[in-house]
Amino acid sequence: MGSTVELRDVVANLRFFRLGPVTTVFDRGSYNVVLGPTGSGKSTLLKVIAGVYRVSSGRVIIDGEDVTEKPPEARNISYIPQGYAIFDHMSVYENIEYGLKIRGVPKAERRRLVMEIAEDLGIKHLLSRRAVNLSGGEQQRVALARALVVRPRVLLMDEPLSMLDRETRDRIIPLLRELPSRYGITVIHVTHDWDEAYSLADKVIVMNMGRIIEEGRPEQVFERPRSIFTAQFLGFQNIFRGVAERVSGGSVIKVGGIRFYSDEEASGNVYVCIRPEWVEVLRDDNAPSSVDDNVFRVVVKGVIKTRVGYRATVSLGDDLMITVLSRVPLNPGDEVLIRVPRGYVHVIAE
Amino acid sequence: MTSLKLKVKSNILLTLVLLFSILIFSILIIYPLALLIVLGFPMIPKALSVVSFIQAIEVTVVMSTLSTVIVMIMGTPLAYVMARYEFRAKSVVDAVIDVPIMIPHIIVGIMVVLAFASQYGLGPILKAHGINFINTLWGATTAVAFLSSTYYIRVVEASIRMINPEVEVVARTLGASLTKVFTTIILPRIWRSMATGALLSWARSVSEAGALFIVAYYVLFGKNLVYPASVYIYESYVGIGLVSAVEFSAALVAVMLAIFVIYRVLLSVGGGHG
Repeated sequence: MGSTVELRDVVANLRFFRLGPVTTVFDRGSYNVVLGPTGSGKSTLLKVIAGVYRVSSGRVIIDGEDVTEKPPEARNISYIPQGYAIFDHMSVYENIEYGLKIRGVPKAERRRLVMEIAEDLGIKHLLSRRAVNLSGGEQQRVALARALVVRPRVLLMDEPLSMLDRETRDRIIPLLRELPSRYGITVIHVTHDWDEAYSLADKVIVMNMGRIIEEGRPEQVFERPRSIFTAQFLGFQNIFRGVAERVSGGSVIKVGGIRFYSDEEASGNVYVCIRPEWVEVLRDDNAPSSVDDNVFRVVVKGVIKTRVGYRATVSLGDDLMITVLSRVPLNPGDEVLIRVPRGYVHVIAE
Repeated sequence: MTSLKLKVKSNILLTLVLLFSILIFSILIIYPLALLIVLGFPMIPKALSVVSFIQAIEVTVVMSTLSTVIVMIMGTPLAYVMARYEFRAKSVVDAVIDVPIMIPHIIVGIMVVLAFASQYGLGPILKAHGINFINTLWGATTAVAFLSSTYYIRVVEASIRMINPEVEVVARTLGASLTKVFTTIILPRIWRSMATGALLSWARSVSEAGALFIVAYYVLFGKNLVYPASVYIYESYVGIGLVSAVEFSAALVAVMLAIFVIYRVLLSVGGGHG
């Protein structure tokens, strides 16, 4: 069932970029998503695992075997780059067959394996086609078939969904999710799209400037990030510096003259992080009274209409602006009550 | 296409510029070529019956073909490196590749003599082994290989640049060694460009005169002393006159065109992907 990929203090010096030191473990048969902005080093990380980039120091270990010095062709790792890199001077069949042929698998066996994987991925009808003029979704499946047919230990994918339209993407996500269990592989998937990460990952790894900023289960990383970078990158649009004090059942954080209550225990200098979608916009008449509940009377400053509601910037007074997501229409100048549930006030120590 | 025609019609300035360009092109390129063909072609059979001229063509073809082989062996890996890798001295190498088409050909001839047939550098070593560069196929081939390498390297480099490097990475991870990647992924896509580059470089070699004036005004070929074709035509011009030179020029152009056409036909019959 797949392989364990271990990176120990890996450093790779490229011409204009330095990766690492990076230390992490990708568990056997797990789906891992490496998340980071452009230039964070996530693609470099994949190429280091693939053996395309030599590491300057550190070790790359697969199933306990040190492969640091091994060339890509000796690692038994499949790689699907962004854009899929289909061999367009070959037919679809020849594309999928390529790795088997190189490995010297006999012709009849090759035929059987190509047919099997093509059937499995629903691309049997494409086999005789030239590999040019395939749609994005078709290319994606051909690339998957080509990568999987050689039974790799690990599958590396760089932005596998970024070239697809939304509908194709939604169809392919369940297929990707099944890859570890269906083909017995460990998947490492690189993306900058956090929705993708949330849907697919057993483990999320957040990278920035060549280093791992944080890693963990998606729920933990998305809801309780440990670093400000992660919080910003993952859509916590409201991040304020404040001073926390412990109170029973959590803490109270003073941001200027405003107090936020949180279930999390913290003290000293902290950052308060609140996702816009976790803020409730209340109608005036059913306002709760308890100040513990982080209820504020606010003035709407600006509103942007989005697909999921009205994204509004509201003023809490004392120069504090906060972004909220409201399902009811809001207009600049409106006075409304907002409530930030205590459980959703995330605190990161400075 | 119709919209393009409409635009040309509707824009007087563009039409004028285009006409002017066609006029210059006609006078500069088409007119001399046409005149040579019209006057020279009836005389081609006569020219091709001159034994010394046939020998000249033979020597030129052998020299140019050898040169092209050398250029391909040297140029293909170099083109790959230039297309794929970034390194500190790259701009220097880049400039050096262009040197052959930048410097006067007479100077290239002087350089070849200096490098391989003088008392300096490799000269004495080659002499000790009985290898002579002056007025031999060696010298002639070296000079034209020097001069024609740029064309081949640039054409092949451009075609390698067109290949997504990720394709090579994928092939590597699928188990292909570097050599296998070259033969199964790179070669199928660049062989046409290699052929085009080779033809360009070959034609460039056939055309050479300047460097040969210095290195190999005539070539010891078999037991004969043979002029390379360009030198032969020069000799006939200064020795006999314009009419004689036109005769041989038309014949050389005809032979080269014939070789181009045959080569192209063979390439397209060679088929495959392009």
